[in-house]
Amino acid sequence: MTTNRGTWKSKLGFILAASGSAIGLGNIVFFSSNAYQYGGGAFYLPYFIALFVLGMPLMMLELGIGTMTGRSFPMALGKIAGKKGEFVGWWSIAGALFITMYYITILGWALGMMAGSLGSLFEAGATAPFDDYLKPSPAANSTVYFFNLISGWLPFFFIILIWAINLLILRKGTASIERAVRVIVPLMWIFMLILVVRGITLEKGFDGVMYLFTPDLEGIAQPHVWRGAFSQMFFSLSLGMGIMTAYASYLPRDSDQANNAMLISFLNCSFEFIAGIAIFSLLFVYALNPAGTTLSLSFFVIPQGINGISAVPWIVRLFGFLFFLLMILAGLSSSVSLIEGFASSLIDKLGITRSRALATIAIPGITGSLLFTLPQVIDPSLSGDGTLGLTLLDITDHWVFNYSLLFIGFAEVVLIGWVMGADNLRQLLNRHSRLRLGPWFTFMIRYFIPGLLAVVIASSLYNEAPLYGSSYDMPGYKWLTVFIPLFWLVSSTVFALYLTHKSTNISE
Amino acid sequence: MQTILNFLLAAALLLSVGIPVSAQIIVPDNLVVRQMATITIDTGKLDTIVVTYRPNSSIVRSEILLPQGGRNTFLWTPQKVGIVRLSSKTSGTRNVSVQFEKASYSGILVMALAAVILFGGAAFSFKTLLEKEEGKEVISRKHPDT
Repeated sequence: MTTNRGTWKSKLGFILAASGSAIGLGNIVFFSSNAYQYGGGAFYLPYFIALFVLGMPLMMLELGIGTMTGRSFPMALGKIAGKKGEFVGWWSIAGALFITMYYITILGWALGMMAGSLGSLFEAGATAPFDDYLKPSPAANSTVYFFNLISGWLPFFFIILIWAINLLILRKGTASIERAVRVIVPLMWIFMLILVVRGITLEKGFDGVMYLFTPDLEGIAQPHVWRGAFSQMFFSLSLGMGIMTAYASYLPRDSDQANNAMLISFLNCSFEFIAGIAIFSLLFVYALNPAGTTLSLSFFVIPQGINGISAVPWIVRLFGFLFFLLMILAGLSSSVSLIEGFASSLIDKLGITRSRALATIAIPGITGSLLFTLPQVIDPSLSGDGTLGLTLLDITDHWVFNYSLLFIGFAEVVLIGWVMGADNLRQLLNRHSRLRLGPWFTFMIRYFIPGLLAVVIASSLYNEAPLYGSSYDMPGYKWLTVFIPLFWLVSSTVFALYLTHKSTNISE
Repeated sequence: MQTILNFLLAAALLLSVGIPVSAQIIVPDNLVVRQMATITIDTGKLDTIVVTYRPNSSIVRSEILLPQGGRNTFLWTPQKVGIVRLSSKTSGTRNVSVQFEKASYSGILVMALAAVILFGGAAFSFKTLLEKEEGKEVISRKHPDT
């Protein structure tokens, strides 16, 4: 049996899809949070070093094995390193499925907040079923609004809608993905530029921009600042999830993957650059402290800033709507790629149709996404996350996002560097690349990146005690802090073993 | 996307810390680095103010302000630009932004350098992509699978 896997109609379509995949929710606010924490402009030094020594070489690797083998991630690694490689590939797909589930939950919440922008999000009087939020808020309060949203059943509807949009975009593979990203990606840039213009035209807005870029060198010698930069780069570029390999497998074999990797990486970081300008101008003007990370910044801090953007209510609503629409668009281009990575792997392995592959993913995927928004209040004092769904999401995210991607990144560089041979990959990339990759590339893949990732993983594990979530006051649910990491490890391993040893329905 | 560490911390901060409306620490509208400002607390009890520069970051720096002349009036010369948390036991907490006194040349330099590297790099790669694409046919990838 042979498969016509499809191709991108143009390289621009591929670049839009791949950069859209890399640019996600994290790019909008996560970079700003890190830049704030690690010294503003001073953070750019480790950030750029991470881009050139970790981000770009790994991106070249993932794209390179995609075009070289013409296969999705597990099958590509399988071709290179046999069953061991395929196991690593499926393990990464399992991690990506967990991430897809809660990522779409977050997009569902963003859709709820977007709808709220046109409703009562920016009005006083919000309440939520938590100890501190029982009395109506005296002023508009996006935090209370958010907790009220997630403690109800309405997000179920939004999440199913987001899943439906994803499946619609994916129904015809590269053809429909390309059509969607040609609209989504330019819109993301336009909306972000609108926020930038509004941010810097606020009184003191430009001071916020200077606050972002002015280096505070106090922290530059601290190891965790560098660790933060390397982690930021790894996560920001969507590495270790098999996405880039799947997308690259739809390109002709003679594609210049060194150049593609550079372009995707530069576009991703350029988006972070302008997002930083928009976010920092708001933070500075309204003296908002960007504590916490993606979710808290997106749902609490930025809406609080938007609330002060104008005295005219409809302008506030419009900017609130635009911000959450931007989040949804950025998230969609990423969630589509996450699902496509899994779908293409199933199609390659089992020879099933695209519709069947998508249905196979959608059933557990939608179930998981709905679990992550279960509205039961298990922690009314909000010592932890409040609802059962958010608690599941928080603990799962901690383990899967922090460890799965890094483990996979480590395993793939070891497999490519030591089993396939980094020099072989370098020669393959150079065959079609205008920019020649020197021996430094081999050194990076064989020694530097595995060493670096090992240090990051080890230091993360060292700082792990006590178990994540154990400080939350959630009587009857403490067991979740142990159960979730165990469930992730066991289910991912069983899933990867099953698919690795399942016979393929496709002949060579 | 990443770990939701401090998720609730941020919620608590926004409710109790970052909302100027409920704060009882009174500051001038414009605070400028290295320019003295007068801060007051509208409570009867004598108190001190803890100033935290870049709160919740990995490079936090703090100083303590003492009341002047037996009243809850404080003289403060901000040492650093940016987001600063002022907190006192009796009057809660308030975030303020300290402005630059003149243009930040180091900030402009870093911004320009970063923009040149990122947008210049993207433009260069994009040009290479388009040059290679000219006159090239995309070949469908139909092949036997494993």
